[in-house]
Amino acid sequence: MKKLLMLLAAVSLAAVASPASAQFDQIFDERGRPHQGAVTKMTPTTITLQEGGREVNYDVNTIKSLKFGDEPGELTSVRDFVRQGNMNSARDELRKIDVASIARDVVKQDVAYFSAFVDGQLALQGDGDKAGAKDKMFAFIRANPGTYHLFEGAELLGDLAMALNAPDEAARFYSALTRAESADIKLKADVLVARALLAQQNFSGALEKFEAVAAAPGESPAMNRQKQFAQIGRAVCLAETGQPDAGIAAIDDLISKTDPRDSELFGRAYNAKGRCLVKANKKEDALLSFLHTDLMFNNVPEVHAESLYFLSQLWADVQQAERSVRARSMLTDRYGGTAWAKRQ
Amino acid sequence: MRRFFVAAAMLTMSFGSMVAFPASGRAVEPAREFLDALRNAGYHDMASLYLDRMANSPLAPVELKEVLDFERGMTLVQASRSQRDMAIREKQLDEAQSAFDSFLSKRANHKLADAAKSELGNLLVERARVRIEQSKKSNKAQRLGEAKALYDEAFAIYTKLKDDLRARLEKLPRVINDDNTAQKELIEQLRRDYLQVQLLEAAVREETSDTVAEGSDEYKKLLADSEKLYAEIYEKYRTMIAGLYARMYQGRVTQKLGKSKDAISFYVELLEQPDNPDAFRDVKTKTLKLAVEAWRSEGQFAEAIRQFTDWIGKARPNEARNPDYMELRMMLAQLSIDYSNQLKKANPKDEQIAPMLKEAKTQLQFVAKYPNDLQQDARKLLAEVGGGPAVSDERPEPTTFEEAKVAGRETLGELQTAEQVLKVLPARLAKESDAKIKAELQKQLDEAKTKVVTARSDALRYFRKALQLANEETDAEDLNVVRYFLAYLYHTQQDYYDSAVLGEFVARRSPLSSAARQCAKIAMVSYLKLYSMSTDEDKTFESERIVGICDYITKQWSDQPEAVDALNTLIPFMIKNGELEQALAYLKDIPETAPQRGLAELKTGQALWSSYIKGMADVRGWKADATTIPAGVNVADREKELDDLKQRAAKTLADGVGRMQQVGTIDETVATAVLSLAQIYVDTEQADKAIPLLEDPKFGVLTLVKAKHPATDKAGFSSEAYKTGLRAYIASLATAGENGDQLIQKASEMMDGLKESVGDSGQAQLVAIYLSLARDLEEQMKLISSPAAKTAMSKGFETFLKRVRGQSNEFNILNWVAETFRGMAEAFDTGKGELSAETIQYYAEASSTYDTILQKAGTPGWLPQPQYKLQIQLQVAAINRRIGKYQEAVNSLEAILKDNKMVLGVQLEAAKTYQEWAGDSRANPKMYELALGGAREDEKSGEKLIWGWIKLSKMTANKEQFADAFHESRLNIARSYLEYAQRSQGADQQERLDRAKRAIEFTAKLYPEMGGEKWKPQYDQTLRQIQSKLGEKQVGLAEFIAADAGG
Repeated sequence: MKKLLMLLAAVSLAAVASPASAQFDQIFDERGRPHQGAVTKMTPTTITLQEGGREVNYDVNTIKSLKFGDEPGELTSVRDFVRQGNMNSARDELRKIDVASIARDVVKQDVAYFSAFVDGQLALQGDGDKAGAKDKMFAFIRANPGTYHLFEGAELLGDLAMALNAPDEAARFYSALTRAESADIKLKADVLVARALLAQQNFSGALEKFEAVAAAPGESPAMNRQKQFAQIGRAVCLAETGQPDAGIAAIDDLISKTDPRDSELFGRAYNAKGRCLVKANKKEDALLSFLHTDLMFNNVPEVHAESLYFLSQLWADVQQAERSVRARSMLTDRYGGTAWAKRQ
Repeated sequence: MRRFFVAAAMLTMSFGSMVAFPASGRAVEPAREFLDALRNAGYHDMASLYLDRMANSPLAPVELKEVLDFERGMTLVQASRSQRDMAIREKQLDEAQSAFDSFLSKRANHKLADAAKSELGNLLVERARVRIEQSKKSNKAQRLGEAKALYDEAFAIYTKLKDDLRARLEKLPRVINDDNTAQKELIEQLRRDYLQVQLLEAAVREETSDTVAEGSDEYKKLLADSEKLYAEIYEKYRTMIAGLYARMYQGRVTQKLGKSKDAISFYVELLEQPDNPDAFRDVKTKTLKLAVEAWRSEGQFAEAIRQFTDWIGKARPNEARNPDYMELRMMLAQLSIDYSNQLKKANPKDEQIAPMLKEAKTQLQFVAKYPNDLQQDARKLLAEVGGGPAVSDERPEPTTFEEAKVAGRETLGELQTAEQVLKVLPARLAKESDAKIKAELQKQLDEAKTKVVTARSDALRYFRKALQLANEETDAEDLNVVRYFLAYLYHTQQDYYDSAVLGEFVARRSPLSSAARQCAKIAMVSYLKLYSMSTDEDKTFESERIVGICDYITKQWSDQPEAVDALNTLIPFMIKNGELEQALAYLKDIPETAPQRGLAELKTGQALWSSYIKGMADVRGWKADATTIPAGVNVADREKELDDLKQRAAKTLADGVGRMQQVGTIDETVATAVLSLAQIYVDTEQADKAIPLLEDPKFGVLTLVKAKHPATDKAGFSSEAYKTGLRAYIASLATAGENGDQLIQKASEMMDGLKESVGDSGQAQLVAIYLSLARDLEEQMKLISSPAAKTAMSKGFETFLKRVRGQSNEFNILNWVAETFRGMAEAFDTGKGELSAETIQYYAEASSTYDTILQKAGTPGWLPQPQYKLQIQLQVAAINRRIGKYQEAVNSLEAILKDNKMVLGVQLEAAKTYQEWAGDSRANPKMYELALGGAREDEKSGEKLIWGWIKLSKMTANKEQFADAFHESRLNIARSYLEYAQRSQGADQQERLDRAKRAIEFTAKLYPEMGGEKWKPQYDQTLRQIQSKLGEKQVGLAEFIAADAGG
């Protein structure tokens, strides 16, 4: 682990080899507009594109996607499938790629990254070996410390460690994100670390971190989102430390001020409210809260898995054994790789 | 028809269009989405809970708060549609109606008000359908009448709503500015609502015809109304899909009215519509299905076949195997077969026959080829027309859950049919005289017997197979229904353990399943069976399971009849286990308005009363023999508990009886409870309450007994009723005043009734009843706490008894009178000091009555048993002794002994009398010598007729069967000498004390056991008194034991 952190610290600024192909590389910015040229340099935070004789730096955090001009068509498909969350199809496409026929190292790197990323995501869904996937991603980052996927990779490593019930290790992976230049990624790192502390039942530590994020300066939409996640985490900490009503009030306040189109945010919010209600011994209300996530805000596996875990417990408590079994089955079938599925 | 209502809603999409609560894009609880999601997922219970929570939630959108009741109603209506349990469904409909009513009362002008009104109409239609379903099982005429009333009510609602909508539409401007979107939307909405309600109006008229006799004037009128309404809709909306449906339904109604030709013209008109869009295709498919009967009745087979062939030929690839088209193919096949048969009749060589049959076979082969509901039917028909292998009765082995489930259900149906045959045929067989028919019936009966066995075994096999074949995609509800059938079958073949376990599994695991309640019931009944069948002394397991499942049922379905059944089962168990508080708590759980509440109260009260009676029997036993009191029991405390129990029994029974009087049901439980309550009243000085209960013109047990009501058939019931009546009337005499004669008359009637109830051969039984009655009255008098009340009752009682004595010449009555007088005397007799005037008077009355009996006893056959005379003589002697008439007592005893001096009881009584006589301060103390040595010499033999204690002890010595008499004699020898000594002086006294002591010493040496626990303490106490008089140390029997030990 220390090795990885050292690698992350010594972010490489090595130049990227010039493209051999005459075809243009393309960067799609956050609005989806294409920018054509040749990728000349990549770091964990910046991609440099030579556009008509001038070099333009793009913040990795604002890039929607990147496509190398001479990459195999299958790799393009992999990017699309990953974006859609269709990891099985992504894996099928990856298997078709003949890495030996790829000339550019950056393209080879991308194939290696996506191979590790897809394995990791599938492992999180219960399809594959989580420890093996973690090792694979770790090996990729160690071999490519300057990759523009560095922070995504670190986050996945954290997620895998969480799923392996090693929240302390996860916290260390997540903390790597704090080295990002982007303020919202730094906040995200803190939120992730705080969640890891929460998983370790270190409620005071988690609360401190969540509150720090919530009070951090900066008002960009991405930063505000992390602050809202922090409010949600804080509510759970309050509930766990004997103040469930304060937690419920905080979540209700957030819900009343937030756009419900952000599915992950709302899913996490209703899960947190559910946990507060469980602590307040309001089981039926807790069920309603988790059902919000289960029925409406279920597109983030970990979030949906959490709601299913609590639903299976609560249905059993209110003598609805069949519903309990159904929730448990869905949890193990769909999200067998998550820590929630392992929890009894 | 139900499908029609759904179609009507889909066609217009009006009332069903809900108000959107602001959600997406705005910061607020996403209520509409969540509500829809809950309903779509089948979580109707959670949707209702959510609406409850939203009522007070600051997060709830205002728009939602305005329509909470409406949404609640819609949720319940949706829940009821998926509910297969009729009782729960009705309850949901009730609640939905309340919700819509509430909404309309609060939001009469809301844009959903029309929808709510329409839903109220739909609810009535749903209720009417429930009644129609119920009419198929029982009370047909009543249920159909109720259904019709509901339909009529729904029709009135639709008509009013239609008129309202039309009036509102007429008031709106005809030309709307394009910019006025809101106005345009409103008009559009009102128009759709208007069309919708017209369709509902026509449909409900048609459906109402199901509630009246087919072909009746009313039937025709309803259909004619419906036809007219459909026609009007078609005329107004012929360019809309709704108009086409109206035309189709008009055809159906016309056909029901017997106007097939007209119906065909409507159908053909629709079949000639274009095939597109898809909505048209649906109309045409449905129309074809309806038209087939019209073509048949007009004999237009060729036209029907042409239309079917044409339409099936146009089936799209995705339609070819869907259930609708499979059905059309089956219909075409049947049409072709029927047509070929018709042709064959006219001309067997008709060339069209072969192509017709070929067409039939083609269609049947298609249907038989693919899995579908009609596959089996198609195979059978194919075999009949020779188009495939004959289908054996044996079903193919199922390969899927669905196949196994269907096979199981079909076999279960066969089982039930065979069981029905077994029920009905024996009676027919017994009546049938025609030998041929009889043989045929017998054959059917034998076949049914075999079928019951094989079908049960097959059904079990199929359902077990279904469970094996179930997979992740199997519908959970279907799975539970299969489990239910299995549990039912296990129960019918007395595999109670299996049925209980499976039933409980479904009940607990899937409480929302339609099978859950039935399964819970099977589990409960199975555990009860296991309990009653168990030969183990320890029935803890069965008992716990019964209590467990019953408790679960009461909590899970608290508002359903099963809960009451469960409570009725639980309560006796709780009482049996001594958990009376819990029993009463369960009773409170039964709603006061539930029809079963009264019955449960009666059963509970009855159980409490039985518990009280048993408890009192224990207490009496403990009082009679203190050695039997269990460790840790305080008799006085127990008596208090029992008194409390009696009060609770009375209260519970009174509540139950009151409720049952309102309900009107009379059965054995009700009758027994009324009797128990009357008995409690009599026992607790409330005879004035008992009498109206006994005499109630409908429920009174005396009324019922007199009318020989089946509820009083139980053995011993009528005599108990008369006994209770007699006690109640007698008890009321104390306060009767001027009504005394009337009460005495009634009491006499009770005695007549008692006599009648035991019959001619029951004289001995009658005597026993009178004796027990006398004891009861004695107990009752003892229980009366107030001396004044006791005296009042005894006075009334005395009057009654004298009246009875004067009027009766029967042994039973006179004996009862005497026994009762004696009992009354004993009730006043404290056993200490001087006897009161009342005690002496009642003893004298008893004695006088016994004398009357003895005078009549000489008449041959007057006494039911000859030995009664001796018993009565003894009673007379005992009474005389008690009231100090020793001479008379000894005389009567002597008279008996003259006939037979070996009567031990009489000898004992005589010795006792002499001893008591001697003890009277007015008597000569020498009388003790008569008590000890006997008296009254026999003139013939010169021997003493009365033996006295000494001879008695000799005559009974060393005879185990007379051990008590021996010790009574030995003890009384010592006591007589002691008492004699106490009235003596000097040496005489000393000598008599020595004799007294020696009497005990002698007994102790020869009989060291000293008669055991009953006699030994009495010897000891008497010896201590002697030792005291002798100035010795009062060591009691220890003196002789020590002397023995010393050598």
